[in-house]
Amino acid sequence: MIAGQSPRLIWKVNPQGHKRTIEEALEIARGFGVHVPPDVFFFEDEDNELPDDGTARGPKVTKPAGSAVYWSDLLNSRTGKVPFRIRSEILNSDEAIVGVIAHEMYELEKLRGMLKKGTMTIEHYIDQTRPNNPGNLHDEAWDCSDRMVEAMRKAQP
Amino acid sequence: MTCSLVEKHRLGMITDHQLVVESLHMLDPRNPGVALTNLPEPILRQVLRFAKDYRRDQMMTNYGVVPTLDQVLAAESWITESRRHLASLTA
Repeated sequence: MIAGQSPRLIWKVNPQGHKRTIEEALEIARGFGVHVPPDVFFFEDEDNELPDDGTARGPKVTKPAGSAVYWSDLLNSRTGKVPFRIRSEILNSDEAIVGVIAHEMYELEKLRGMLKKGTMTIEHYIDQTRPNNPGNLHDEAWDCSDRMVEAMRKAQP
Repeated sequence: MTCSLVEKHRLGMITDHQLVVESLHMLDPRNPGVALTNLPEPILRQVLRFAKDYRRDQMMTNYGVVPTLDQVLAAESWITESRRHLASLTA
């Protein structure tokens, strides 16, 4: 079993711990209804840079207090994509793959509009994306994640 | 270390903004060129913009460390001096 930081469900590891590639993971997530837009880039955390309790992580943003965060702050200009680092162990579980990618994509899509308008301050951005802040986007994203994994379980024989 | 950051950026694993912030965090104020030499020109321009916006004790981040004022000032000075030197050579 793999326990995420906040999801209610416990994700089942694949039989024999079969590990997926990033390409397979994205295909699996999309196959179970997760909208993964073309302007995101997932890669495996081969350097173990994620904290012990982290399942995946989007871009780092550092700004002076009170300043706006923009969509361009989340992009790599060479690729035009938003990078997401995903923990290696997540790739051993199709349920974790669906749950974690659903979580990240929920947050990103909710942020996208605000960031494109430039109406979100760094304080608001941090409040909405950090753990241990009940009712924020990060919290909602785990609810979405649980729903997607539950639907996945129902869809499988 | 900065070469590794540049490579990660080239591969799309980090954003432009991350390359700026992480390079500044790695920078030794006594020898800023080591961290800055390999950065592409558009990223150096973003370093200067970051330095202009930098506010001591008021920087916020969603994770990780924030570059210190001496790192930011050293980078700003190194880039400005490098450009001045280049301009004098081509004048």
